[in-house]
Amino acid sequence: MTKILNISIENYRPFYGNNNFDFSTADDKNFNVVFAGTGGGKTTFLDAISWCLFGKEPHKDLSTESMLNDIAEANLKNEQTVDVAIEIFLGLRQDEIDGVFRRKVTFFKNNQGKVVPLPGSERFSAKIKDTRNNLIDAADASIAANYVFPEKIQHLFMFDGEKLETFFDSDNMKKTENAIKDMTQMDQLDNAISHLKSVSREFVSKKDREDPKLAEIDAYVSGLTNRIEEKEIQKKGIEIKRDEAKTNFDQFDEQLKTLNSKGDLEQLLTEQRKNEEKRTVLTKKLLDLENQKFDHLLKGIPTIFCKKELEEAVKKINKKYESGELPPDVKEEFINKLLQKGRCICHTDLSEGSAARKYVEVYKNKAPLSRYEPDIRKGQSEITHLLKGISGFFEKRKDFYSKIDEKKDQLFETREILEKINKQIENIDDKEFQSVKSNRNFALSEFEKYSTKVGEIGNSINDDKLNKLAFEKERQKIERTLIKNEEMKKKFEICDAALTFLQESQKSLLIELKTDIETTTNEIYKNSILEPRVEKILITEDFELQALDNENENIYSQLSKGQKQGLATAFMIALRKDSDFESPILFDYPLGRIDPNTRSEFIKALKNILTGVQVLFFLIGGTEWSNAEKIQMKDRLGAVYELKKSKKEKKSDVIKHA
Amino acid sequence: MKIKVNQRLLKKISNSDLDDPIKKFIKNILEIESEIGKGGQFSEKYKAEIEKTYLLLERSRQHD
Repeated sequence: MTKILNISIENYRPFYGNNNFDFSTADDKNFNVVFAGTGGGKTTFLDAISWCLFGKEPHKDLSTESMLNDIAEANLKNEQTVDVAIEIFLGLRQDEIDGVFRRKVTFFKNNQGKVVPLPGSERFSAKIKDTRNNLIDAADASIAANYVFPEKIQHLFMFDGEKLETFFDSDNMKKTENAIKDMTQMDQLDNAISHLKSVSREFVSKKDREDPKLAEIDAYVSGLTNRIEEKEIQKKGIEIKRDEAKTNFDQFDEQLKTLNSKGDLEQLLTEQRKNEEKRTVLTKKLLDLENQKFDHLLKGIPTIFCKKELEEAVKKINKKYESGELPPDVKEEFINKLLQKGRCICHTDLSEGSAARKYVEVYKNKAPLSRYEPDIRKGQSEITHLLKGISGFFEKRKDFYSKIDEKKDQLFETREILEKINKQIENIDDKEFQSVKSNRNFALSEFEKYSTKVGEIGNSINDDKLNKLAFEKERQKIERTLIKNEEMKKKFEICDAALTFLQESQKSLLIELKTDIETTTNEIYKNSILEPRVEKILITEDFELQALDNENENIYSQLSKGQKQGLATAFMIALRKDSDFESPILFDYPLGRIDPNTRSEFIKALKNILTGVQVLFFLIGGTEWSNAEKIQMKDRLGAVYELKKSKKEKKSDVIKHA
Repeated sequence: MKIKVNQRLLKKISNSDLDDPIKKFIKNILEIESEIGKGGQFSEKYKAEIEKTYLLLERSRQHD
């Protein structure tokens, strides 16, 4: 709720100097009147308000230039300035200002005596109350003004009596629907629905994403876990067997030592053990080298390719040398030296003017070495470098293979030694010894077999564990996605719930408002008995406002101008009553078209319905503002101002009536 | 000093059987509309309100 406390008009059109209008804000004295005779400035007053708030003067076709009051203009000296300014003070009580809007423009009289508005001097400012009740400058005065007096619905709080009489004559449905929607801020609801739809789309796309198949991953991970457990058990079993074999081996080995029936047996067995260990180490190393052989070959592949290419390139170059397409690299230097000497190596005379020299020079010119030489030399050096690299690779490869061969030889040698030792041991004629030895060898082979198996299962378990870890990580990632998706779903549900509610409310609100506004319009119109034939005012489903007679015939077109104005006024006031709109009503020419016989009823209806809202009536003195109206409005009258056109000067005097 | 969101709508929101955080959410987006006007930057403000409402709903679900 806001009210106009004061309007100050300075040097604007008929208002010379500073003119202040204080208006009543009391609820029981809410009818303020500004009346004037023809040309007194009543409509100009409304233009002043409109210019201050929106920078527009709806009733003026004139340019800003003529806005300056004639007397102020006449009094202005050359090279001097004067301001035209309008200020509107808002608040609920006279002693408490909630906001101020001020628009001013400066006029300047140049040295030729011409008065013009100073370019760029028009300023619109606003002060509004902040949360600490301090008046502060609004960041954007236009936005602030539109909060209180939305320009878009200016016609719904600044009533123009003359326009009201034709309000429903054309585009009845559209105007009625728009008026209801605008006044009740349905556009906010429309915007909220459209914005919500747009924002919720982002969640739709995310929420509809298919959930990843967690169950499948879980089953796989669980399978892996079981497999690992099974393998661990298997491994433990084999480890036991391996340890048993080791124990057996150690026991048989110890036993063998005690069964040393021949003097050299102990030494033989030591040798046997040493060589067996050597054989194991060599076998492993050889296996590693064999495995690395392929890695080494893989690394060498690009070089091998390169070698092939280079060899082909070298072949081509050589061919060109042979065919004479490319000269030997020393040719130019060699020929130059011969020519300098004046003698060939075969002692042919090459001195100036000799026949042979001509041939040599022709040959030299046919092969312009100097042009190609740097490139050829560069190419040769690169080829040499690459070939070195290749030969390096082959050297390394050769070393590698020689290492393998070396190990193979060593292994072969060890095996031969072992064979020899074994034969020697076998030849020892001792049955018990042979039996223990055979058991010992069996235990050793068993130990080696189980050790290998333990290693293999261990590797396989490690692979499974790595696999499991990878799947578990993937699972965590999916879980995070699922949580995010769930969040998106919930956010979409929030939007959806709000959207459904707003869409349903939009429909029902409009129907409710239409019904209420229709009821209030009927109440005002019928109370003022503007046209006895009108039985009911109806707003159809299509938002057409109709005036129905007792046979439900729409007789709107048969209404007089005054009756139409009365009907439009009733509708506008109903709109105000049934909306949350809180600005004051500024009503120009409200009674002019109303039949004097029904006027008192109309005023009575206005008084009944316009409670709690500040009204500024702009009336024509005499026609609209006579003793009859004064008496009828007396109990609700706040401030009354008369604008009196001066007979002597070009200005209107402002008279405040008690 | 600004247009209030339609009182009827606010009443409808209060009387609805929507969860309290969603009621608050609708009221807040209508407030945003009254502040930003038609061409305003709504997206970020709306998303912030959705986030706030989501957290409130989650909190109340956890308490339940």
